[in-house]
Amino acid sequence: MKSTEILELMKNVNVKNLDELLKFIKNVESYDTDQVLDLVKVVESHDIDEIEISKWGTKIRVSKNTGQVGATVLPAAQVPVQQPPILPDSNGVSPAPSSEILEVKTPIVGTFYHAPAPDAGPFVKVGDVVTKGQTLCIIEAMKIMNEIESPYSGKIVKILVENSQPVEFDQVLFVIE
Amino acid sequence: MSPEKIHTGLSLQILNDKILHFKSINSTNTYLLGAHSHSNGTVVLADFQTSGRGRLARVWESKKAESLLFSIFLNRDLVSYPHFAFTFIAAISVFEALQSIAPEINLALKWPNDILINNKKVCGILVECRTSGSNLSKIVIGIGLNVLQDKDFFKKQGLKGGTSLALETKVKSSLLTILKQIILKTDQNLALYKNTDGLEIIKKWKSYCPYIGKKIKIDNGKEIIPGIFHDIGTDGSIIIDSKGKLNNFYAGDVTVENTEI
Repeated sequence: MKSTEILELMKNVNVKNLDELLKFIKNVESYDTDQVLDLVKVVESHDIDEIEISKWGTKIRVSKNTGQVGATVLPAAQVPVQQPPILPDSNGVSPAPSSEILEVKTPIVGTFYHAPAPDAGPFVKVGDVVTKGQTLCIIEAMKIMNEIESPYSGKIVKILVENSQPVEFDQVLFVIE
Repeated sequence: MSPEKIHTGLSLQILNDKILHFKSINSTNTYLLGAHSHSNGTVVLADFQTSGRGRLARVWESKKAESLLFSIFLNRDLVSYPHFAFTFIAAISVFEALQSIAPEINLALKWPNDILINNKKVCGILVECRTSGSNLSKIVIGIGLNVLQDKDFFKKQGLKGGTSLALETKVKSSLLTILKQIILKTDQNLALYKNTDGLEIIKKWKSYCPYIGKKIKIDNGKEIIPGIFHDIGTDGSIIIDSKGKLNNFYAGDVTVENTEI
């Protein structure tokens, strides 16, 4: 399929932020452009609200919302990406956090650990002041221990998950003020 | 103490052909995850680790020069890889290296990255990475292979499910020869992943695992769930069939029925 045809098809299904979407698609190596276009077509032409497929390293969700069709390309739980997801999912865009309240989300699906070992003290507690780059927790997936560093400096005001709890992609773990 | 540099003499596509060799170090993973910067594909080897560790800080015991203990550093150049790819790449690479050294041995992989000989664990892999926001900054693959330990070692450690190459095979290869073989296979599999679809990695992994379709249990730290090992998900998770219901697990210890592992 030629890029002009892709653009045309995307226009037909009212995908917003087209340039960003294409740029994003290009940046994810293990990603098949035709695949998402097929999904867009399927959603458009059938009585389906949403389709989600997972492929090695990527997760693609195409959802129909208030008569429009949008395609959201999610970083898979495991794919680190530089841009945030570009389009709202079927639940709409979550409200932007105010400048003082910041959320730390998990970039992967896995198990949350608050400490480096079962008998060790937690990395952080509510009320602790953390600096950017400080380890907040470990998320384990497929025996990979992923240390999550704080993207911000500030005070931990909430810890929303319990030790050893399974977490879903993009789940909020900490609230930092 | 500054490390000795060993040239592998291997022709590599991704990994560095120089190995940094320490006589003693706290842990090769800790060294590479530390503040120093390292070039992509740096390999660190230690004769002895004073604080060797496994998942959840479990202690990895090693007597001097009885184990092959090393770590591989990868940086953001491999950013398009999903994190979990490294667990599977490491496991299949050690599997293939051992297979090439001792083709007659009964090797198997257990989800996600245990390497077994005759149903006993011979190698542990600990992959650690650092993530800030959604950006992966560095990845370290730590590998500990039991080579020369005798039966007493495992008895004293209370590791009835553990074994060494010396106990299970007639292999007389030096630690360095085995290391080079693992480096070579890891390099080839990283390149395979880079140049093809990652599903090739999962396909290989599945062909090295004899437990698919078998009764297993998974201990996720909260409960132990029995079922049939149904498949590996495209996201690397283990899919277990519990009374006809398929569940994906992303973490936990798997045990295979009628074995000690």
